[in-house]
Amino acid sequence: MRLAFALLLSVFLTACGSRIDAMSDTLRYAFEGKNDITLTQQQIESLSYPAQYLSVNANPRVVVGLGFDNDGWYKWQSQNKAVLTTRRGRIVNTQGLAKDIAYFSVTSQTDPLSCLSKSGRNCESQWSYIVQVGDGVDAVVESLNASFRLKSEQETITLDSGREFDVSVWEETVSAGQQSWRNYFYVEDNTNRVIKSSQQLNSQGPRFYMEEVKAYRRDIDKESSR
Amino acid sequence: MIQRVALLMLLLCASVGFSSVSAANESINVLVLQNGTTEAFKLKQPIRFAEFLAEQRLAYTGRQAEGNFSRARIGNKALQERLEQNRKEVLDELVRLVAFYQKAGAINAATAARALLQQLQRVNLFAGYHLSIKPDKLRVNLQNNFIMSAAESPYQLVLFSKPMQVIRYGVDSGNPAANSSYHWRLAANGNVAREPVALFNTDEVSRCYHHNFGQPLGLGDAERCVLSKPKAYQRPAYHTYVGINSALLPENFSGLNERIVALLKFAIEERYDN
Repeated sequence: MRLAFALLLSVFLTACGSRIDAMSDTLRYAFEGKNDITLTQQQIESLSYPAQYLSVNANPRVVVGLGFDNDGWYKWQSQNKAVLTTRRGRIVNTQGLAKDIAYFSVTSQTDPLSCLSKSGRNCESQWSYIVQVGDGVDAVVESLNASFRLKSEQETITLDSGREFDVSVWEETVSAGQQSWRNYFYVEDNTNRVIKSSQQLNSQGPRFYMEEVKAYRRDIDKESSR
Repeated sequence: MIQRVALLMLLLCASVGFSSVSAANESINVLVLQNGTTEAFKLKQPIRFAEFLAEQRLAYTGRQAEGNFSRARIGNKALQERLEQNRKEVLDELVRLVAFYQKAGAINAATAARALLQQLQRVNLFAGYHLSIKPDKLRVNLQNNFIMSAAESPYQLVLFSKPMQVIRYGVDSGNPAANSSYHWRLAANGNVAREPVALFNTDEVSRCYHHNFGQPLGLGDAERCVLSKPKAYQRPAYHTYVGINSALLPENFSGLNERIVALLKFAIEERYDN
């Protein structure tokens, strides 16, 4: 059954950007159970494509693999066929969750995270956006304001993959009406890529926890221009 | 006998071969409507929907991030014609209802029915088998990644780049003939819900209808559901419909509100002449 699915997947996956083959390997690891998934070093090394740990709210952690890179919008796929889109470390769209982020649009300034993950310097700290949650009879639109501040810099963290990184930790405060919450983005000092995050795009969640398992080469290649 | 069977087999093979050649030569036409413009595509052979989106760069590029695929829908000309036929029947029904109320001297009800008649005459309807398209899921889930073929051509696909402009359809809330017990929500994905809104039925459970792409022109499969209300700082992302008070509908007009909802679930704000 898994082989048939892997074959079907490999036949029908198309992309304008990178194609990730052999997703069945990631899918084999990313089964959902009652416990968090933790890959061994050998399993991580054997991955032929980028991957992240992902947990949604208090649910067990799973592994998602990078299925497509569409002009810098990364599509991460889970075993239950949900797809998350990230842009420079921020989740901007989901397809297949109970309440999807169905639409996202920046309404003033650019997302500071885009700047932080590019140059890391002289970035605007304030921005606003709208997000549509769901597409059904409960769907709502929220208008949100957010601001960034540097929480700590040159901090050394060890990811669950076992790798150590020097990061700057950025704290984002988001508000919608009287509601407010905080997001955290761990930006790696050398490449400015987001290697870990705790983020929630709208007032009622969900909250996503993402952590790099295997880096995307394009993100660590300093000479690539985007 | 054997010669007769052989001849029949030959004729059968020839007809199958001929039809295969004919099918292969039939092009597949797709009309794409977006941002007030229309663009026609002619495909030479059957193709999966996701592949069509990819080849025409309608999705899976940076542009996808600027679009609102939760509002996108795909149908075909045949479905659109059936929908328009349904609209015509409901309009005829409303004309008769207006006449009935006028004859009965029910001024408020006549005003309500006339308002519905005018709205349904003006509203833009775009029929779709699949509403609220999830391009990324299409690539990993074959169920909705249907094959576009000549048999269902010409297709029509509408794409949007902005959030839904929420519209309240139906009878004015100031009209005593308006249904003050139940309102309807009309979602981008084709689902609709009948929501109790009066004090007397506030504890009543709502009824949700899930769009069925196999029978798209119906309300869909019903189930009881609990709806959440938008918070003060949120805006709904669905249209609403307030119908005529069901108690005022004559028996032979029973279900009229539901038939109107089945039309309005395909309403779009923009007008396209296709």
